[in-house]
Amino acid sequence: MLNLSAQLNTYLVIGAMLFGFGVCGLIRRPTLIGMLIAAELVLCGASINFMAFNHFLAPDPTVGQIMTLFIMAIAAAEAAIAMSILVCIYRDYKSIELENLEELSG
Amino acid sequence: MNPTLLSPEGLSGLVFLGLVAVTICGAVIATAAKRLIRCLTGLVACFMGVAGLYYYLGSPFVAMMQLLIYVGAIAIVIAFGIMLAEPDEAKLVKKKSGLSGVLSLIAGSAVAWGLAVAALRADWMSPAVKLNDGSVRDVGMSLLTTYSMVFELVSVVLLVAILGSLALARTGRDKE
Amino acid sequence: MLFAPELVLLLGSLLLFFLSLGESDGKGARNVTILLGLAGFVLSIITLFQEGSLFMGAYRIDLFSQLFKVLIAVGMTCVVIFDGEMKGISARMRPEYYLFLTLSCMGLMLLVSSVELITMFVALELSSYSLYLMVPMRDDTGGIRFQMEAAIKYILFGIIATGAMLYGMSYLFGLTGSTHLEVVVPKIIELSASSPAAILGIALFMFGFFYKLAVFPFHFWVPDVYEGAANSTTAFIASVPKLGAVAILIRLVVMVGPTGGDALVNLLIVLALCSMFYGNLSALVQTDVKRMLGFSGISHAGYVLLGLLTLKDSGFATSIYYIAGYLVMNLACFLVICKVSKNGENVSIDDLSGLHQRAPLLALTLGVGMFALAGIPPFVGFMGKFMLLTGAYKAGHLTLVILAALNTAIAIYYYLSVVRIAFCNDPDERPSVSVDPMTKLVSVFLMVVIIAMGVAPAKVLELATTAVRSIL
Repeated sequence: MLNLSAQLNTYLVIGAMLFGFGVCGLIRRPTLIGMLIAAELVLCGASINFMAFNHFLAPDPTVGQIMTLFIMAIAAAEAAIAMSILVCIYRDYKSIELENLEELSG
Repeated sequence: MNPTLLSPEGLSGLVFLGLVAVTICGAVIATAAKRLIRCLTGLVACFMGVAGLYYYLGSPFVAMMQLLIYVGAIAIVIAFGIMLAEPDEAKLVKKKSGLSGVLSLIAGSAVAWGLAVAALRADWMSPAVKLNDGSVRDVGMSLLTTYSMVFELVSVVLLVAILGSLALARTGRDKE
Repeated sequence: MLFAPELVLLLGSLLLFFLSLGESDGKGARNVTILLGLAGFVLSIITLFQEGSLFMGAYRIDLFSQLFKVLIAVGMTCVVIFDGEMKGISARMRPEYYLFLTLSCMGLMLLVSSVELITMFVALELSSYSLYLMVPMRDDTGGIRFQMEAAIKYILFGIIATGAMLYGMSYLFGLTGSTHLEVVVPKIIELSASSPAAILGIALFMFGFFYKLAVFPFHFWVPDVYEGAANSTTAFIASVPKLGAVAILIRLVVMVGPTGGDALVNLLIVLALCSMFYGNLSALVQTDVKRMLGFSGISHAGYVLLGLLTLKDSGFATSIYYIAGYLVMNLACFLVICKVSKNGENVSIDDLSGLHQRAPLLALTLGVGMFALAGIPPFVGFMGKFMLLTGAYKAGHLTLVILAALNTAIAIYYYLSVVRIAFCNDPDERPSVSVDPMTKLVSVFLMVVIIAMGVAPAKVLELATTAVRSIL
């Protein structure tokens, strides 16, 4: 039990679990931000796999680290884009609600 | 074979188990919590656990980056998003039926189980002789030699993200 | 010189960036983009038969990559030209819009040339993010709001597809210990017969590109995005990124080798059939032309898979031929949509009534495009479908061929009903449509290509076969 950290399989199972949580969350969550959070879990699962193979198997142990770094950069870019679109959506919905309010009072 | 609990290896194994627990619990909270802000907290916990795992995988540098980028940047961006958009959540919750909860549970566990079984049964390559020790110096060397192209390319991707976010956010100001 | 097409687009996007800083109505940006597209086209043609390897083996120039670059440049130029008045793009964002369009094309060009997994991943994301950002740039002054929802769905499901792709990549990395295709491909070919993990890895890797190609269970975004994005944006999304997806799918299918991978072939058969039936049956009931073309695009993606699942170089060449044909057929139809739509609003099938009186050239273009999509001789769609079906038959998939042929019959119905409305109905006081000379040129060009490729497919097919052999 205590030398789990030295086994490739531990990490692969954790990676698979995070991927599964991501898929589960994506179907389950009603909100867009919730889905975004689930998507981050999916990317994280893939990163763990890369890091694990990198440490235990690969001849060049920089490849997996570089891949993980790029996944982070891409995930950050994606969060920024998704959030800017969400802000636009929120702005639209808010204006719709304001219109409705005006109709009711008028 | 098994190290004793109080030996250095045993303690490090114990810490590792703790990190795994944090990761998994964080992921559970991130998918199952009702309120979005709790999901986000779960996500942060999960990312911190994963950063610890990276440390055990011999890369303190990537662990640091995980904390900086995921916990420091992405989680904050999402937190801002939640602050802006949370009022909409209550309405959206009603739209989805209880069926999706069961369905998602089945789909998620099926995917996780399938991938885990595939990973455990697979015959991965035999461990190769390491060409270098994967230190920050080696990562930097690789980035500027073998992966020089993708290193340049990712800057264009980040530029697209920045410009796009600015362009989309700008319209709102013009409307008034 | 080898890197010239991408370099021109990169420098051009820098120019567009500076244009976007000043006040501009987008005309200048549009002209620059047209020139860039033409320059990219010419340079890709010049470098067509050159070969070389750049950036420490991460990037490969060969006939295969250059052929796709030519097609990408053609698609880009046509889309920008026939969207003459930039209807439907928010006026404030036009320079940025063209910047993203150029960068998206550059990303695709980089994608088809990259032979290293990390480069592939980042190039794909470059092209995808630019696309995600083009969708919400639709003009919202007319009260059109669903483009934002379409954009967020597109990006969220896109991330999941990317996640699956990365997971697949990690399996390939774990099995081979390298990210360079020249190392990965031979090892995976060796393993694919015995190792389920290799097949799973390739399949997961493919999911990312099935999403781009809109193959059946990865199609959720299609109706929303086609309806939500501006007409010209949809024209771009519907045609150009699919080229990149097919290029990479061919590179991936090569990995299972000529014999191994029954599981993968079965998966492709199921996906192809589901795509065809789902796409065609849903297209039957649509009233919006863009949605109809979206669902028909799903079924065409199914046809492209028919070529891939033969696992032979002739099959891959037919897939390239078919997707090239699909590019021009689809662009011809979207050209008409862009022109008929007056202020950039969506076009319903009824809006096409009496088009032969309102704009004869457009009606002819629409007719040729729809006939070609339906697969009626002598157009390119017929030759493509015919060769795909015979290829699949020779590979021993008889049931599949029968079901695919049945689908062709279903498809004829809805394509021809559009043509019938355009030619047989009265205009009912709908105004005539003006067409600028550049667009006329493009529509004639597209029609000529559709007919030429349909009448004389041998040359194109030969080129595609040589291209495929160069990567085997």
